[in-house]
Amino acid sequence: MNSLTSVSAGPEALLSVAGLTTELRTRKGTVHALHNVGFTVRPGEAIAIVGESGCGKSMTARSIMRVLPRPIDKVSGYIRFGGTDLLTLSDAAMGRIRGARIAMIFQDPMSHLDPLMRIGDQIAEVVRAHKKLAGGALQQAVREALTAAQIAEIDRVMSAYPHQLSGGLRQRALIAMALACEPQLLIADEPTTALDVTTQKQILQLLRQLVTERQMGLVLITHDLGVVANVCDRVYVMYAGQVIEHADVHDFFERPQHPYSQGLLASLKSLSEGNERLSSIPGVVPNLIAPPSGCRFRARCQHALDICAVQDPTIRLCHDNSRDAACWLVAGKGDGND
Amino acid sequence: MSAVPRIVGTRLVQAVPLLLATVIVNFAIIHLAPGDPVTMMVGEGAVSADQMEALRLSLGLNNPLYIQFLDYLGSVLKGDLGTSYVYHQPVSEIIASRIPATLLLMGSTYVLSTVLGLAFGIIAALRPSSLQDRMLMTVAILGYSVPTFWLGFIALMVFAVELGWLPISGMVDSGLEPGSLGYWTSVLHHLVLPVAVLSLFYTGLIARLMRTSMLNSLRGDFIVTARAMGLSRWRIILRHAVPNAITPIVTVLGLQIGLMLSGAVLTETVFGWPGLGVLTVQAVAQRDYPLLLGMFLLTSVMVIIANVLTDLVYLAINPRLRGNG
Repeated sequence: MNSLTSVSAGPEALLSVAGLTTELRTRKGTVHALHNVGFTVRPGEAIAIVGESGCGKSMTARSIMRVLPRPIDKVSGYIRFGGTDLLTLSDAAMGRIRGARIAMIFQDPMSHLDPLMRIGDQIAEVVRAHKKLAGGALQQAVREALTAAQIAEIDRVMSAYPHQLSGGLRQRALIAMALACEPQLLIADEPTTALDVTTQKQILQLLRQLVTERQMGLVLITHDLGVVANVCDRVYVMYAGQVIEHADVHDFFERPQHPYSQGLLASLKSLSEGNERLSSIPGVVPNLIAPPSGCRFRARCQHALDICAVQDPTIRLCHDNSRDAACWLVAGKGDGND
Repeated sequence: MSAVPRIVGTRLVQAVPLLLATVIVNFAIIHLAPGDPVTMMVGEGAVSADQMEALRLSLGLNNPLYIQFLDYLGSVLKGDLGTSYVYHQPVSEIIASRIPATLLLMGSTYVLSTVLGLAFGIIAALRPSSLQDRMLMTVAILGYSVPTFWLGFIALMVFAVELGWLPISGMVDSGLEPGSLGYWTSVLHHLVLPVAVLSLFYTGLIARLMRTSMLNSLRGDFIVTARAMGLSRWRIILRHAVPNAITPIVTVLGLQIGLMLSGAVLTETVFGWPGLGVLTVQAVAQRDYPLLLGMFLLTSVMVIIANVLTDLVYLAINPRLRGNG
C-alpha cells in the first residue's frame, strides 16, 4: 500500500528516496516535517523540489544528509545511494559520504561560511577531511575547486574572508567547497534566492553546466518556478511535508495535475501577465504537529471530495520517473500498484 | 593592518581627557570624604594644635582645594606622584614594590579562570540541559554569586585553620632565601587558597558567558555547512564553533583585566596578601591622600590599557573589523 513497494527507480538511479519520514522533536511537540517522501535522481539529471516555505523542501535535503537540527530528530524510510541505504550507515561512514560523494550548498552563503576563516582554508579543510593531501597537492586541489566554480581571481578569493566577497562570489566559494571532492550528487538548497537576478542566472548556468559535464546529479530546492524551468529536467512538488506531484518539467508547466500545482502556476502566470491582482491560493499550510487526516491540501482545495477527508492520496503515488499526482481527482497509474 | 596604529592612536588620544577626568573625580572624592590626614598621622591629642597646624602648612593642606589640585596635577604631569604621608617615601616607589605580589595573584587567577571558564562553558554547551550542563552551571552561578570575601573566610577556616593544609596569611614564610626553591615553593603554597577562591568567581562568570556564546555559535549556519561537508565532530567544535564563540566574549575577558585590581582589594585583605589591594585599604584608613590618588590613577591607567589591548586582540581574531584590505 505504501510507496516503499512502488519504487521503480531503475538501475541507473543515483539516489532513490522512498518513504522518507522525518520527525522533529520540539518543545511544542513532535513536528511531522516529512511524511512518505520519495523521489529519484539519475546521474546527469537535475530535479527540482518546489513548494512554499515550510513545506519540507529543506528538511528533505537535511534528512538525506543526516544533518538535522537535533540529535534526537528521527528519520525513517529508505535513502539508497551508491548501492547502500544511507539511513543504515554509521555516523563515521556517513561522514565519509557527506562532502565527498554528496555535497550541499545553501541559500545564504554569508552565514553558511565561517566568518573567521579564509576561503582557501575552508576549502582545504574539506579536501583534507576526505583525501590525504597536503602542501602543494592540497593547494592544487583547492585551486581546481575554485576553477570548477568558475572563479577568476583565484588568489584573491583564496586569501579573502567571506565578508570581503560579493554575494555571487560567496556562493561560488561555497560551490567550490562542495565540488572540491568531486561529488556525484549536489543538493542545492535555494542557492540563488539571496542573489540579484544577473548573478542568479550565472550561478544557475554554472550548476546546469556541472550536471551536464560531470554527469552529476542535482537536487535543486527552490520556490522559484522560473529557476525550475531554466535548470531542471524533472519536478517534484511538495506540500505540507509530502510529495504531491511529480512530472517532467515540460509536462509540469503544460499540464499540472494537482490543484496545488495548478494554483502555483496560476500565481506565476498572473505575475508574468502583469495583472493588477496577484492570484494566490487561499488558506494557510496546515500545522505539522497535528497534520489533518486525508489530503493535507483539502482545506484549501476548491475541488475537495468526500474521500479527501478520509484517505491520504499520497499512498497511491508512484515514485518512478514518470509523472503522477497525489490527488483523488486524477486517475493516475499509481492505482495499479496497490 | 593599518587599523592597528589607528586604533592605538585613537585610544591614546581618548585616554588624555579620560585620565584628567578620573584624576579630578578621584581628587574630589578623597577630599570630600570625612577625616583629616594630619589627625590620622599624629594621633588625637598627641601633639599641640600649633604643631598640627605647622604640619598642615608643610603638606599644603591649608591651601584652597583648587590650588592643591593644580599642584598635584602639575607634579603628576612631571611624573611625580608625591610622597606618602605615612611611609615618607615616593608613592611611585611604594606602588612599584607592591606590583609583583598583586601581579602574581591576579595573573594566576586570570589565566586559571579564563582557561577553566572557557572549558566549562564549552563542555556545558555541547550537551545543553544534560547532567553535566546542570552541574557545571550550578557551580558557576554559586561561584559568582557568593561574596568572595565570605568564601575566603570559609576557605581559610576549613583549609587553613581546621585542616591546617594551607597557610593562613601572607605570601611567603619568613626566613627563606628569596629566589631559592624553598622560597618559591612557599609562595606557591600561599598562593593556592586566594587563587582558588578568586578563580571560582571569575571561572563562574566566564563559564556562563561562554556557554551562551557557544550555544549561539553551535546554532550557526556555518556549523550546518561544516557538518554537510563531512568534517568530524571535534573539528567542527574546535575549529569553527569555539573561535566564533570566543570572539564576542573577548571584550568581557579584556575588561576583567582592568577590574582585577578592585577584585584584589577584598581578597588581599582577607588573605593578608602584601599587594596593592592591602596597600589601598591602608591608604584609605590612614587618609594617605597621595598614595590613594596614586592607586586610583594606576587603576584608571590599567583599565585604559586593558581596553586598548582588548581592541587589539579583537582586531586580531576578528577579520571583519579589519575592513577589506
